[in-house]
Amino acid sequence: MTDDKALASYVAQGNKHAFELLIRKHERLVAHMVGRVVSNSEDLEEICQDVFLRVYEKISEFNFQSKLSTWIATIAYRQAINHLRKKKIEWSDIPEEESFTAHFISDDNPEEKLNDDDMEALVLKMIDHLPPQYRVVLTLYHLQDMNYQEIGEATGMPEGTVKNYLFRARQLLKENVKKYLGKEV
Amino acid sequence: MNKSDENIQKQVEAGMPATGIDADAYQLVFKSLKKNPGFNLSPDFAQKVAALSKAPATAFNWDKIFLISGIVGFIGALIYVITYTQFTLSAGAFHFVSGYPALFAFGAAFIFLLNWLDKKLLRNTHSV
Repeated sequence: MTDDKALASYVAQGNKHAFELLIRKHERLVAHMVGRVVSNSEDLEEICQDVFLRVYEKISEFNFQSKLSTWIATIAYRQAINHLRKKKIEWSDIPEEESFTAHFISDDNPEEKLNDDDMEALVLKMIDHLPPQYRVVLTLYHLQDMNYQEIGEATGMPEGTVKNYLFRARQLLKENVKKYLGKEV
Repeated sequence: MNKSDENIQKQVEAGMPATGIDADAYQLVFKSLKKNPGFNLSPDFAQKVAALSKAPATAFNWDKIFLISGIVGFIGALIYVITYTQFTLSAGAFHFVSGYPALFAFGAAFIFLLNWLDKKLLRNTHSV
């Protein structure tokens, strides 16, 4: 926290070297957050650039009531949603539970068993087909090691919703993975 | 939430042994979730963005401006009203209290007691 405070203070004074350090420290978080919302790698770098320029513009207003990373994640989340709105891509609510589950866990029966590496790649592909809210929560929890409260702060979702989305998303993935387990090669 | 699934998720996340096809599937899911999803930025991204940045504008504190102008406006209005209406301070309706000192003392003690009970009993049980 002290490091973040010092870094933020240097950036607020217009120190470009400090800003570069701040970007390096948080670029993975921002790329994951934006990538999970937007799902379009062409726009990824441009949106991430806008996120960091916004951070630079607003850092003097940051009061350290939350972690710097959580604050940056909030900006990234909003910026990514604004991008979707600009492109007129609908940011929909979670689809109806039963219809979505039926659609996500298709009846297709895979022919053969996959090895672990292939399975991991397949799970990553499955994540792309989850609703964006699920994708964001999964990424922040598993890749950025954020807790429920921090994810709630970054996305504006209540903690209970975060917990529920996380559970549901993993359960949906598990149901799909189960179909590939136990098949003969 | 499905209790059985919830328990398996907790076990797998904590690295505790879990058996069955659901546990195996969850193990794979948790392992995959730790993998980089491949959203990578160019190696010189930080340098490029830092070069694009312009010196941040110093934050203009609107809250302070509104607070100060509110206080100044309030004092101005107060002075104007006092001089315009030739207002003088008086206890007004509260003069009657001087005839009932016991009632006043009871009222004060009662309010004090309520506050004390609130602090002692209610706030302690509701604060986490």
